[in-house]
Amino acid sequence: MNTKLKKGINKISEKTISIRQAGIMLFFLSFSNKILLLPSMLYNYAKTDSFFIYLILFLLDIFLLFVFVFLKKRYINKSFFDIFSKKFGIFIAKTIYFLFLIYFLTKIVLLFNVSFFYFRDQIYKSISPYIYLICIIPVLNHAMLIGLRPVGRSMEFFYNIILFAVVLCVGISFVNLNNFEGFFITKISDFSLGLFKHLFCFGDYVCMFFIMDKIQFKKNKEKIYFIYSAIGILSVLAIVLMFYLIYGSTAFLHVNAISDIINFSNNYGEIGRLDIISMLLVMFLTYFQLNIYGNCFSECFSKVFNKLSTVYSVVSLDLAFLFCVIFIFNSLQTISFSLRNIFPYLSILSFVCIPIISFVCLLSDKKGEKNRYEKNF
Amino acid sequence: MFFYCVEEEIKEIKKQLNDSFDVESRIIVKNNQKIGLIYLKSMTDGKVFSESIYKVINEFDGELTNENLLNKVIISNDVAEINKEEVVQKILDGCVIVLTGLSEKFVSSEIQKYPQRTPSEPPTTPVINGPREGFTEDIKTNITLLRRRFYSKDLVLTNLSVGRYTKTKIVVAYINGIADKRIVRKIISRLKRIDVDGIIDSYYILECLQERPHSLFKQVGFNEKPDVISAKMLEGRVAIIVDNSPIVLTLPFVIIEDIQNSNDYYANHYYAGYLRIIRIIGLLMAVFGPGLFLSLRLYHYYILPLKYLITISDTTQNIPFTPFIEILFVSLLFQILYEVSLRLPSYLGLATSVVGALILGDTGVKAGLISPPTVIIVALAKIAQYTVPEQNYQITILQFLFLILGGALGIFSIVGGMIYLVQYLTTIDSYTAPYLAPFSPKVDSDLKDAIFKTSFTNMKQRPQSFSNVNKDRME
Repeated sequence: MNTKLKKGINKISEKTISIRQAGIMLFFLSFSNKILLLPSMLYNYAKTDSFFIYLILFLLDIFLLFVFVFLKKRYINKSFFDIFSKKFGIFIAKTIYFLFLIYFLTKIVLLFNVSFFYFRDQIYKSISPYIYLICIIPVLNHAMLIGLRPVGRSMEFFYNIILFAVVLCVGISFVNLNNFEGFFITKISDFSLGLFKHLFCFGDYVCMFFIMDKIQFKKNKEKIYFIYSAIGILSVLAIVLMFYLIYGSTAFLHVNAISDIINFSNNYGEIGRLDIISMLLVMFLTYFQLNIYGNCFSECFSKVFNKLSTVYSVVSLDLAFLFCVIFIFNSLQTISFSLRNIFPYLSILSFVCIPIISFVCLLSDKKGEKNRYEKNF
Repeated sequence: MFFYCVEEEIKEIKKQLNDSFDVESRIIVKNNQKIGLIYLKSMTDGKVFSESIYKVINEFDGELTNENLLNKVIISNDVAEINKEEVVQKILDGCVIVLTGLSEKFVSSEIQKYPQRTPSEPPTTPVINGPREGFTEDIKTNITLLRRRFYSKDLVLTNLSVGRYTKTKIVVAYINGIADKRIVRKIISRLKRIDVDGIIDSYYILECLQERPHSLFKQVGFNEKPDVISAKMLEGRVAIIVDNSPIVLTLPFVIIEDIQNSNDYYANHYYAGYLRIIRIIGLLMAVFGPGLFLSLRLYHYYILPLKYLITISDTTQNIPFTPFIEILFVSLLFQILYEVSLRLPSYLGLATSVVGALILGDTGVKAGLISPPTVIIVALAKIAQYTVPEQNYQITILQFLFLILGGALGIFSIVGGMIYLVQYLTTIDSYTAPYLAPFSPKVDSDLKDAIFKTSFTNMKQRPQSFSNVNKDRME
């Protein structure tokens, strides 16, 4: 291998993450917005059958992951933007990326709000969203500025602890089957409505498309993506199932799903409030998911406004984020209304646009690119 | 034929040495030939000078040429012919210079002697089992201590001199065939680039060697024990020995090295793993303990079980200060006592500890100025930080930062700070080694000697967290 190529590889590998780190990102993305407010919101439409809504929407997520894996295999080191713009032209590519800019901003705002209301209920008797912002923004900005690699590495660092916390959350919960209402009790129309209205809470695996050039490629190692996403999905399903088993019926906008499955466990009362485990878990999940969205936002920003540095994307996100939090999504009611009536249409971007673009690219370009990159941390 | 006048030459050399009072010179006249001797009496061994230089020159019957001096007269293992330009440096190094006048060149013989201590157990890293000797301030002794562990030609020692005035000797040591030459070259080039007045201790070059010199976190390993340094060199690390310092530096460095201790390698590996977990708990307790306690008291007191909450509220309700001020006050008190105990003579240090811990602490609690839970938490954190003494400075600063975070915004900000910290640490690479390896990025083979330690026979490969040439440690 010549020196020039070696240098090039080193330069690229400095910014890339390993497949394992990408898999761990999928694990984190599996949780996004799904274990706090969503179980109770879905219950309103589909009662305990909401569990199947989770299953169906997760299958859609896995479909996205399959598309991503095919695309990554074909275009080993190319960015999604490069592939996309080559087939559809720069203007269309930039337009779609601009829409995704809004998509990721909305994801950030939604995650911020849901976790804020959760922590306000759970650990802060009275907290202003501004105080919460002061905690979130420095970490989010730092993650955007330093890039994806440290974010991936830090997730890898905490992964085992977080997985252990998830297992504890499910393991120590107390299940009372007497309250369980059984499955297949809702009408198809209500079920479908519930499914459609909460589409936006899923489709997070779309993030992988925007960072695909920053993930190292290793032949025949694609199963790693599926292993970690399966761990994430099974964890979420276990938590949701526990929630529906514990609560015979639950209030609308019951934000504390994960904590309450532990809170209602009276087996360990003498030890103290074990829901601190779930709180810490949600804290880590919130920060990490925000970091992934922040990096995707930054990626979209750099492609749409290709001459501006990351600092501009950070400032833009902060301003847009503050505007949304202060003036638009400042109550739980607004959030739940938007989530059900406006955001599902944004999901077209992730569930329709991305697969179509990917299929067109895959079908029209059979050769692809075959550069291989050596193992590097 | 005489090339120079011996007296004039001695006068000139003395002038170059600014006529310092410890510059000693002698002139021996034999067979109409003047032999000049010049040396530093503060740096040379008087007995060796008399026996091996002065006496033998006096007793020699033939012509005192440089060739005869080198081969027949001076019986020393370190005798050489040198140029005029080297003379002053050789004298400063503790050599005696012989001037014959028969050649342009001079003869130097090393008879260096200065006060030095014998290798003893270092106070910072005592062991229960294993070797007890430690490095000293003398670079020659330190090199001997290393050489005694490697009877192999593959131990490479590269000599450098750094410092405009001190000309401190620095030796870069590594094992040929294990250490990555690119790392060695990088270290040597960085050392050569150092242009300062002087190097007093190895700590002076530490920051010059760090990839991020302004970082809070140390990126260079250091130790006082030759067995530890040898083990690190066998892993492919490079050691940097600095004259006048018992602390030897090693590179590349990963943070887990500070959790490991030489005791771990001379004990059962299960027990070693247990001790490492204790150290990690101690480290976490030291960094996050006071901040977490403060956040629980200020924001999340209802997380505590009712019985503990009642106990804490009973003991804290009459305290006149806010919890933040109280915990800050106790932390400062401990830090002051620590500083005092370091600087006072040992017999006074004990008295200070008694006054500080018993009288100040107990009286403070009884007077209602501070609460017992605060004293316990701060004391626990301060003691726990010495489970990893190498990270003491970092822990102290982080403890304070997390105290502010916990006091200002509660547990959520502590978690945020933790993630920020880890993200920052993952950006540090020390000479090809990711700082948080083998955890992030995960290096499976290195996990055998990370938190848990497997048996020695299972560690068949050298660490792969950083670049080294030969990966296999054993078959």
